[in-house]
Amino acid sequence: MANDGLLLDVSDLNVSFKTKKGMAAAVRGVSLRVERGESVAIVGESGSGKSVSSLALLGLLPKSAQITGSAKFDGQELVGMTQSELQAIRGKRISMIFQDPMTAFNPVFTIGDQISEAMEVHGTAEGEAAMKRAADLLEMVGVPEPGQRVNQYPHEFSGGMRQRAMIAMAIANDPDLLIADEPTTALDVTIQAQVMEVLADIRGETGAAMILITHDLGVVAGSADRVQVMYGGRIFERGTTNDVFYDPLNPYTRGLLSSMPRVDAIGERLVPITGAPPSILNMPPGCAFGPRCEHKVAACAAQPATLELVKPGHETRCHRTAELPAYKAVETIA
Amino acid sequence: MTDMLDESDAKYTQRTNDNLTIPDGPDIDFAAVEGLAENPESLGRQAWDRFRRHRLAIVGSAMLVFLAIAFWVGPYFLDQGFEEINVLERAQGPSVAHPFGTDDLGRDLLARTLRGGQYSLRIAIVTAVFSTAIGTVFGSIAGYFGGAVDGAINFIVNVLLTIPLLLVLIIFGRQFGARPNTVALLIGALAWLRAARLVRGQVLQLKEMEFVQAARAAGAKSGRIIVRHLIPNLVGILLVEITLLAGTAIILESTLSFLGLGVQPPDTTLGTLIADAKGSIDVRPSRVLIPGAIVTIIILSINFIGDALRDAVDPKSGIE
Amino acid sequence: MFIFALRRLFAAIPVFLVATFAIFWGTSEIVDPTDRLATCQTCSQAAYDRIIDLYELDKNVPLRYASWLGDFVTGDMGAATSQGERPVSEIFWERGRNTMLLALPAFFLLMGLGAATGIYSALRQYSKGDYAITSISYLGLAMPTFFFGLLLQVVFAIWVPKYLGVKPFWASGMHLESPLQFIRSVTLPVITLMFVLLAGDSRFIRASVLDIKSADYIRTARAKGVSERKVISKHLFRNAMIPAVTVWSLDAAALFGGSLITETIFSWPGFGRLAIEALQAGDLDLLMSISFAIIVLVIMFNLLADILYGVIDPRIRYD
Repeated sequence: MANDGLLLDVSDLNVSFKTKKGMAAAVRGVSLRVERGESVAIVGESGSGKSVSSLALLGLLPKSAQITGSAKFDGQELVGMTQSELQAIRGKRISMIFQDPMTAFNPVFTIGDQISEAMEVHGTAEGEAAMKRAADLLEMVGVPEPGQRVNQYPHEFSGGMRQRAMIAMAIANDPDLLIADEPTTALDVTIQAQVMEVLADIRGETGAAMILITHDLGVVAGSADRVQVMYGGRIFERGTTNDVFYDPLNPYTRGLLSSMPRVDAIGERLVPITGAPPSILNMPPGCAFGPRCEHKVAACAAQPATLELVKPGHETRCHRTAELPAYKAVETIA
Repeated sequence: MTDMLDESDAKYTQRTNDNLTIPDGPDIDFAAVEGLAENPESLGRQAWDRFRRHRLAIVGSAMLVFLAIAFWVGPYFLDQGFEEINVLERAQGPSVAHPFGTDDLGRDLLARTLRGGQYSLRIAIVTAVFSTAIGTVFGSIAGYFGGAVDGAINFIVNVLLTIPLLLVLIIFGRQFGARPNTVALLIGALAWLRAARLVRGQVLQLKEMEFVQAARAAGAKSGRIIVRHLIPNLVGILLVEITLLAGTAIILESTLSFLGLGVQPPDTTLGTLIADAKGSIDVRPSRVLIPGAIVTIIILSINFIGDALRDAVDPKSGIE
Repeated sequence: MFIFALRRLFAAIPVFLVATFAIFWGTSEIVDPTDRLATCQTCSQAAYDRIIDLYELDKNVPLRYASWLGDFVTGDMGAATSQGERPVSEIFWERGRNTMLLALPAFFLLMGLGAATGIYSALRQYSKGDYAITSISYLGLAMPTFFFGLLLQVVFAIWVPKYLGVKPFWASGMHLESPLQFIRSVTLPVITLMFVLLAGDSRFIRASVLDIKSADYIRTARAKGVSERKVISKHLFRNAMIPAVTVWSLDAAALFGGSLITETIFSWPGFGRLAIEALQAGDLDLLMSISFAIIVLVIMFNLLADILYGVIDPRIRYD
């Protein structure tokens, strides 16, 4: 599976919701390319549109969502696909791992039932064989005593174990693409690292590509090849993980990085971004980040900036890219 | 035992835990998709906005105001009092002189309906306030002190949940039913369970909150904490509870009166009017239908207001 | 599970004792069997003494309660003075059966219709069907049972015969002569019994299905490619049954204990009417037997509901 080639090609994806106060655009002109076996992180705060875009790909948004643009998965256009066509892809070729393992499993069925259901709906395995494979999968993701645990109910699993089981369910049909939506947010810090490790191991074994959706830059560092930073439904910066972390071009990305504690900068002051993200019902007409940006000028409020290529593979959306000071990691306090 | 209370009573709370008001378009729970920033507005203002959004609640409020004015002011414009017997005009159909007709003793049914409406509304309000007060006292004590006190109150609640309400009302109605205030007290004494459960749950949450902990750390006594810190935070849900209980009270009161165990003649309530008219239902069905429709409209209006209030006080429980 | 049921049964005993004692005491204070004799000119002192003796009115309330309870639990409910000295157990069988003739069809219709309308309303939220069901439910919640029953009588026993010339249903009395007569007499009381409960059930099930509909695990099921039909019939339905059990157990207790109102309006000789008759006749013992039987019924249905939760919801473990 790990052969080169484009797996997912999303271009100009727009998602808006019909609301009482008119249309609310949650995702605006997002593009995303994922190669086979590659790991791409989408980073952003709540409301940045990162989860909505991934749910849109699989047709999992409520009916009031209007989706335009194109999303080609392995050559097939996902946008506009019927529900039954999408059902054949969901859980089989593209699997999702959800944020909260506490609520993502159905409380009235056993973990084994729910993992084997993923195989049964796609005809990969049936009955006993499916249960057997469910146990094997649990073992793969590091759940101890998988033979017994398949017969247990979600409430009998701890949070970390449940998230492992979630991963086991996602890989049951050996998918080409995993979409992990905040897979560690609901977990303790120590468990977070374990779960990310399991994800990395599993990808090593199956060769699945991954879209990692998170608000936590710390999770991104070790596990993504490339990063896209989203804000207000738009991509603000994208590039390789190294580029974005060590040479961030966009004021928003810089703000995110300086508000994050890092081991290589002990003793430095954390600088929070002031203000709150805009509501999608009430987007500023210009740059979405403008009102919170310390470098803003009049032009920022007038119209949104475009995504520009600054150097190979590294893009940013800012009116003032050329004028911004060079990035210093963080100011050191004397 | 606690769970028994919660489960069986939960039905009661949740049964009406929804509302009829339908927004213009399908509502999306953005918070469910992704947390979104909210516009900071004052809580009172938000609550009022949410209440106003329920058009039916506005209609219900207008209806209740109209009925209350009719019940209390209307009699002054009538020539015949509700007790006045006029043997010459017995059992008549609607006419200009008697828009609702007259009963078997020749009493004007419009005057009696207005009188009945007065009593029904009064009983509903007294019952609801009284019942909610008992529920608040028991609920806040149970929630605040917990332990054995909570267990004892839970036991009382369980006993009352087991006793068939209507049967007890009927047995005791013979003794207490004669006067409107005692009817209200009787119903109120038996209908406080839901309020108690609600308040207990809220107090359990509130007492862990920082401002209560701070008051306690500052040495405030329990009674003071309950009265000064907890109850003010319960005003919203208590208002909702009083409203919904008023609806329940009207149903119970009219049922009791219908069985002849409520307010005694010559006074009357809407339920009594229906009971009086039952015998002549095949000749003059309107005598049953008019008071029945008024009772239904009152309860409907109260329920609309209650749902809107609940949504205003607790947005989570509202539109889904 | 068995041990749990047994424990719950034991826990219910004090509730039963306190509840029945409270009713016994209260009723003894209020219902005076000698009332009947006060207006009776021809009655003798002997009759008076007989009543004092029969209801043990010369003893204090706790003693009377104890002796009464002893009889009740040993199954000896004695004879009912107000019902021609027939044994209470015999009356219970007869009246209980009559109540069942109404309660059973009402209960099953209620379960089916409550689930159907509630689930439909939630899945098609804001559709015309939802509006219709919601509006009718609101009406049901706002109408006292006795008024709804009388309304049915007005429509089907007065207006329909008057304007259409046919009388499709009996408006009063129990008619068991033939299956057709049975259906004609049972229809209106069953609808009356059901309507108010149905309104509440439907709203409640709608609200819980709305919650479940947007639950994360429903999205998870969709995300693994489960078809919409199966998401509803398997994942949603099974979870919706948990809250439904609560309302159904309360409905069952309300229906099978006999309805005072419905049976009165439709002159149906059931268990509920018996309570009114006993009250009017001042028959303390009979009234007590009825109250106790209803309390036992309520406790039983609570217990049954708890056991059912354990079967449906694995999160509830009884051990």
